[in-house]
Parts: sequence; C-alpha cells; structure tokens
Amino acid sequence: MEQPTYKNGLAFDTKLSENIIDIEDRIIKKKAGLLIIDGGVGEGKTTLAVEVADFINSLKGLPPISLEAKDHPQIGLGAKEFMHNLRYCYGEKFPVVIYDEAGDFNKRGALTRLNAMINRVFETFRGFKILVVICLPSFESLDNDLLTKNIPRLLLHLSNREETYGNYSGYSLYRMFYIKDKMKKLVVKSFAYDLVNPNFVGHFKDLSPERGKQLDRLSTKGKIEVLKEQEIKAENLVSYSDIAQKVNRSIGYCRRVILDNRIKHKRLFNRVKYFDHDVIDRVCDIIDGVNEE
Amino acid sequence: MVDFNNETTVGTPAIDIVRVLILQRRADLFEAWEDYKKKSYAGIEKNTPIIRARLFTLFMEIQAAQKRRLKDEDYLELIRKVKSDNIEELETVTFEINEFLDSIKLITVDTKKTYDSTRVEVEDKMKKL
Repeated sequence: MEQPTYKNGLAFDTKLSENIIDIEDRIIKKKAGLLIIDGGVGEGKTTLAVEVADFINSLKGLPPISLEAKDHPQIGLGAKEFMHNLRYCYGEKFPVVIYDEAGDFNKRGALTRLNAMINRVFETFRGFKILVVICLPSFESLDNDLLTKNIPRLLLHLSNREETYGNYSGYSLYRMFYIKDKMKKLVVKSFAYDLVNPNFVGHFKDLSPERGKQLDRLSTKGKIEVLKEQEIKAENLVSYSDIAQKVNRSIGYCRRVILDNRIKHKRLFNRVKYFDHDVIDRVCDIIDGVNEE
Repeated sequence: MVDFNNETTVGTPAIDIVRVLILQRRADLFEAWEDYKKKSYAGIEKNTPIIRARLFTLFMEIQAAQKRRLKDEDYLELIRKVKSDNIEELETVTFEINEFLDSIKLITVDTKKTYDSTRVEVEDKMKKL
C-alpha cells in the first residue's frame, strides 16, 4: 500500500514543504540547519521526521529513507548511533539524518549529553550540508546556547494526534526564543506553545501501513535495548569494566582472573558479559591472595 | 520658524534645518487648506491667496530638488500650476508635492516592514537571526 498523501502529493501540507525547501537553500550555502520535532508520547514525532526526510531525499532524487532494523543509515536511535550515522551520511552524501531520542530515553544525563552532542555536531561538521532532524519530548531540553548560535531553524510542535493524521505548529527561531522565555515562568511548560502564535499550522498523514510497521519495529528495538540495559542495572550486574574500576586493576587483568577462576557470567547483552555484584568481592579476594603469596 | 541664532540650531546640520522648515511650511499649507475647505463647505467667502502664498513658499523649499529630478517640461508645468489661481490645479500640485516628500521619506509613515510570516526563514532573516 502506498503512502497516504494530500492533494500536493506529499504526506504533509504545502506550507511545511515550502519551509523545508527554504531551510535546504540555507544548508546549500553551508549554514547550520537543525529542525526540531517535539511533542508528547505517541504524537507522531518519528513519523513526521521520516516523512520530512523522505521529502528531502526526493528533492535530491533519492529513494525514501530505509527503515530496516539492520540498515537504517538516516535514522539514529540514540546519540551513539546518530553520531555514527551522521559520519556515514556525510560520506555517502545523504542530505538528511534523523536523531530520535528513543534510544536515550530515561538515561541519566541524557539531556546534557544531547546538548553537548548537538553543539559538537555543528562545530565539527560545519558546512556538512546535511539537515539534522531531532525528535524530542520537549523543546525545553535544548540549551539556550544553541538558540543564540542560530542553529535550530524550525520547531514543529505536535499535539492532538488523530487516528489517521497528526497536527503540527511551526515556529521560527525568533519565536522559539519567546517560547523558551515563556517556559521559564510556567509550571506547565507546554502551555508556552499556546502563548506564542505559530508561523503556520498543518497536518500530516500516517506512513503507509507497511512502513509504519517497519518504523514501529525499529523504534521499539531501540527502546527494548535500553530497557534491557536498565534491567541489568536494576539487577545490580557488573561488567568487566565495572569490576576493573572497583578493584583498581586493568580490564585485561580482571578478565584473566575471572577466566582463570572459571567464574560464570550471568547475562550476555550486546556481546558484553555481566556478572553478579559478588564477583567484585571474589576478584578482590583473589588479588589479595596473589599479593600475600 | 527657525531661530538661526539659537544655540541648538547653530550645531544642527543645514539639511536637518531645511527638513524642519519644509515640514513647518507643509503644516502651514494644510492649515490654509483646512480654512479654505471649511468655508467652501459652508458656502461662504473663500480665501485662495493664503493657499497660493503658502504653496509657493513650500515649493520654494524644494524647487531646486524638483528641477534636478524632473524633466524640463514637467518642471515648467509644475511651476505653472504653482503659480495658477485655479483651485483644482493648486490641489493637484499639493498632492504632487506631498508624494514627492513621501518619496524622499520625509513624511513616510508606513515604515513597518511587511513580510510573509508563514515562512520561518523569511521571518528569521528579517529579525537578523
């Protein structure tokens, strides 16, 4: 089944496409271009990001972006994958890359890392001619520093999603400053969007059922990996590097001690072995024993 | 009128003094027009000499600039109208002088820039962001 579209042949209104073309023109002139999509859970942030990316690809005569779980170079789930994909897209001359927070949600310090990452991206890859699309739960997470550097060019705030379509409000950088300022004084931060008039409003349709499922699988994959990581932390399991840090020895040394003493790992996740917390004490004892000898 | 012995005036560039003079003469001309129209609508005796005199002095302030800007025939036509005693021609020349003052941004009031606010890049460019 094909992608549902409006009369203009796109999954969103013409006004948004005009604004994206304007930002693209700016990017061609080697200026920074960041598009922010924010909104609550289930508002369709990633869906719209994918549709925007498809549109930009089509402007360059490229096919829609890949949503395969094993091969999705234009979507980065989490900062680590995003940085890797950005380098890849730079090499392959892809015009757009998406950062989806799905892989980073709930991680401690994720916001600080996010801001540092965006700063780093635009300082390192200045003039890299790639539009970066960032999906976030709230625009508030972004540092003022980024705004003063004129990096974000368009904010799309999503709200009140319906069964087959979503709604967005578009804000210029100029209006983003006002939203930020209003947010400072409000208890319910999202009210700030109602206090600043958007430059334009519009709707976007869902992806085709097939691509929608692909995106769900992809997005869930990122979240499940984080959940597994959280589970490991909750179980108080430790990796080689955690043990090495605790016993003040190198990772190689700890690995050798554990192998020599045939200590079994409890979990294997992302090719990393995780052990019971008691293993630290055992390794300590073994080291003490070696020292006494 | 301008006091040329005033300390403030002495330190003011000539162009600014002339601009103020033009505005003063224009205000005086409007006052004369108001007086004329009031009487005209009431159907009582009308006083064109004041309008003619004030229009002439206002024209004198901008005469050199007009000569520089206009073609010879247009310039001569303008002078003819300024000297005319036909009230309709006086009205037309007042409009023309008004338009000239607007074109040199002396009396321009609609200075607020308009732009397509639905284009974020256009708005940010206007705001120098």
